[in-house]
Amino acid sequence: MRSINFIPLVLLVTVHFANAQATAFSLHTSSDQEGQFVQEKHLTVLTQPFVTKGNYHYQKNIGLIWHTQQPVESKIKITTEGVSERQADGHFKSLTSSSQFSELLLALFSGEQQSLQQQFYIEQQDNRLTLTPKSAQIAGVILKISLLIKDNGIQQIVLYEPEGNYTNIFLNQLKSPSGQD
Amino acid sequence: MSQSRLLYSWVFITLTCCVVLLYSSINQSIKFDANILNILDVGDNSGLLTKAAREPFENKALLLLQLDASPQSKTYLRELNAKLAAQAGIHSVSFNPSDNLEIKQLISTYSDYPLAFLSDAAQVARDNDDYGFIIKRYMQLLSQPSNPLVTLSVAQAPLLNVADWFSDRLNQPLWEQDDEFLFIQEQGLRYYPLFIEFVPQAIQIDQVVTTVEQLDQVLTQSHLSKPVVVIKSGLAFHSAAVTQRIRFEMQLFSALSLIGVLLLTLVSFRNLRPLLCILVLISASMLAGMTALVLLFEQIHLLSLVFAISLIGIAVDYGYHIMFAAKYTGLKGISLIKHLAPALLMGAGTTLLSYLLLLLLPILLLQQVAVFVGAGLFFAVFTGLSVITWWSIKETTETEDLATPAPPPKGFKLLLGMLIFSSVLAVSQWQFEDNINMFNSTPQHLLDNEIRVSQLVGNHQYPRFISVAGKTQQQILERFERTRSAIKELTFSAYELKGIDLWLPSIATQKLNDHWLKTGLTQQQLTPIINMLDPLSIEKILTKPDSWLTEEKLPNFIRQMYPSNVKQANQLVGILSYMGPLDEELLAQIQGRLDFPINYYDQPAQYSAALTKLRHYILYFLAMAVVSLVLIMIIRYPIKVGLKLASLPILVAFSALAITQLIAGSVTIFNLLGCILILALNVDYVFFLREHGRVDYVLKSIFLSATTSALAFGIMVFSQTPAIWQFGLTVLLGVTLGWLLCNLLPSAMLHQGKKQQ
Repeated sequence: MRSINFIPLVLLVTVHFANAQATAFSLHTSSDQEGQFVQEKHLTVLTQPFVTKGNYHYQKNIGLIWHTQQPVESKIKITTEGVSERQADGHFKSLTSSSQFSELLLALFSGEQQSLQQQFYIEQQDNRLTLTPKSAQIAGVILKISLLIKDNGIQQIVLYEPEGNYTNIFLNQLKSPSGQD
Repeated sequence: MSQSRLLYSWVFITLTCCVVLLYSSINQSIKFDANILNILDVGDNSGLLTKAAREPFENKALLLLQLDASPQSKTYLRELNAKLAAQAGIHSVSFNPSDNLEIKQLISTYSDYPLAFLSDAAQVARDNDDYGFIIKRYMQLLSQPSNPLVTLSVAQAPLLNVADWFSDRLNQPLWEQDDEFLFIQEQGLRYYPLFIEFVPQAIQIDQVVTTVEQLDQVLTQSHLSKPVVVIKSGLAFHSAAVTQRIRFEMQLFSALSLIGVLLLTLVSFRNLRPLLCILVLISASMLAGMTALVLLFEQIHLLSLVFAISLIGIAVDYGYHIMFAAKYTGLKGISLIKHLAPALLMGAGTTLLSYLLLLLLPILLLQQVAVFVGAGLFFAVFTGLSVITWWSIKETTETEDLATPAPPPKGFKLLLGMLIFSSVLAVSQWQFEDNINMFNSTPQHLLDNEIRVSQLVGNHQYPRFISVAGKTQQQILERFERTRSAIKELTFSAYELKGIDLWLPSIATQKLNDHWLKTGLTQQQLTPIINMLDPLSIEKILTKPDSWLTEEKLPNFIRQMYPSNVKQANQLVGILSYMGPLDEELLAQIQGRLDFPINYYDQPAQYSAALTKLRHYILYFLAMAVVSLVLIMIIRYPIKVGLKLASLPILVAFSALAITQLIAGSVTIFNLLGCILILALNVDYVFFLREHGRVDYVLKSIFLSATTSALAFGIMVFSQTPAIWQFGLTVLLGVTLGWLLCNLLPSAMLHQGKKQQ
């Protein structure tokens, strides 16, 4: 019996992402970044995109804090050891089953470059990268990922899911990657 | 019957036994079992329930590997996973139990019932009529950058209640995660789990040792600088260790006993023919015993065979008596049979009767021992009378000397006094030990591993379970839910309560959830969600005909994770496995909240209770054996003489038990079982002395019998299996004391009342 094992697959992406195609994809990131995001969720069952806004803060030693402020307040902490959600009482509850794309974000922010080609076919057109899963299991959940890169930073991430659903994330980096690794 | 007819009959029986065993071996129909718990009858239907409760865990094992968080450790884990997965005996290996779930198939199945499922927190909200929770949770789920549960379920279950429900089910609160690995951290050390499922055939008794050896071999292959600490948990490891040990002991003890008996025979007779006679006698009795076991039992417990090697000690007794009588009386054939028959048949008959009485006890091990020893003993006597009396050895010139009555050495009263004193001393501190843990023959390191795993993971070493009866599957599911809710309200422990209701809410609950969500939609309680959703998708779920998830529609891999229901009388009994302790007070509190009875099965306590019950049976049986012995003696001899002679085996058996108590600090059922054998052996000695007198050849034959018995049973003292060494110690003491007492027995007691006969 084989399963779609989301977390390990995405974690593989995490591990292998940035180094994937050194020549085609070079992402230099700072060990301390923060900015704002706008996320648009386009689902076929929704009459209009579901928009969330908030800010993010990445620190190499702490991980990525994804702080949604609108329409609901929620805080997600993404580290190499998993994804956890801040609860009403302040403590973080582990979200082992819903960390799919969250951990991919960490890989992008950390900029650790490894062999992404093992999991994805990578195409580059100008400043846009397209990642297509090689495995049918990943493809069952993620059809492709599109990244818009500008000034060595990610400006937009589009995650294409089955049945015409997709998620569009716009990043507005406030702290420039001055301390590049 | 003529001697030749006896011989032909013997050859026929022997050949028949050989054919039966050969046929069974070729057909591989001889099956063995090594689990000591399987020999106990725990009463009512709990045996079936215990089996059902154990089934989902039987093929599974958990390894906890203590490693650091370095990339080298992770590489090692990945390599280990790949190597283990390549093993023929292993069905699957994973770092995360959820890896084995077909998420896509699961979500597709559950999304067919878009309003039927609510997470635990959502059910609380339902009970409080708090639609705000559903709205908030909806927003939270949509706000996450990506969630495959949302992606896969949103089209059919757009309120995201199914996605939320799956989040609950797939969450592993005990574990932390690092890359694809789960881990538990304690005192700065990380323990990574590897969840293993064996191929069922690979953990059968004939293969489990090989399977575990192969697994151990893979575990030892590590390129890491430090040796990896591996903590193992699983029935297969226990089964392999116990099987290996019992097999080894069985072969070692049988071989040593046989060699000892043969050497003693050779030294005593200084002739090869008696040696061959003894070999034929032992082989024939073993052959008959094994054939009877194969014919009467589907599965043979290895412990039965270990106890059954005691047959060697009993069988050779008859051989010695026959050969010594032949050698020193000069008799042969029918005349020798006539000379020996009374004493031999009385002794063997009493022993046979004692063993056959074991058949009345509801314990498989004892029944198998009774069948093996009974058939073996019968054929040993038959072999002795038909083959050995005919194949007698040449007469000796010592005939006269050895047939002369020998004066007894002094010291009978002293020994008697010592036996009585030790018995009185032991009575004051008498203690019966029935705790099942006393009989656990699993090596200590495996027990320590289990305890460590239970400390780290929160599971208890022995499975405990709660059973709930109901008329239908639905009633059981409803009762599971109510029991779960009662335990949750009363305890705040992290112990897991595993049951199929986790994945299959009752139809009543599904209807309640469905009704509540539909009300929310139709009465505009979920307006923020409704405003976002396509009206068609809302209409679709509102107009969908009512249908509910039932057990038949559950994917197989979910059903196999939990114990099946057991049919009991006209109802079904469902099992909730509880991994924590439950004391009587808490159980009473839980029961107080429910209007139906629940039964809590604590296996160790239950097996201990079964042992206590069994001990009572054995004590009754011993009392019956004593009464039979006294009756036979007073029927055969004058009352006073009969009583005196009967008191000797009884005193020896009790003293052996008393000294065991003084040495070991307690007495178990296996010591009591030893008493049955002591009675049987000592009855033989007494009969031979009384029937043939205190002549030297009888004393010599008793000495040889006692020595061989002491050898066959005494060797068991070195066993690592508590049941075996306890049995061996008592029998060793009993045989030694019996021989001493017979040797010192005053002639007056042996001749008393002979004139009146």
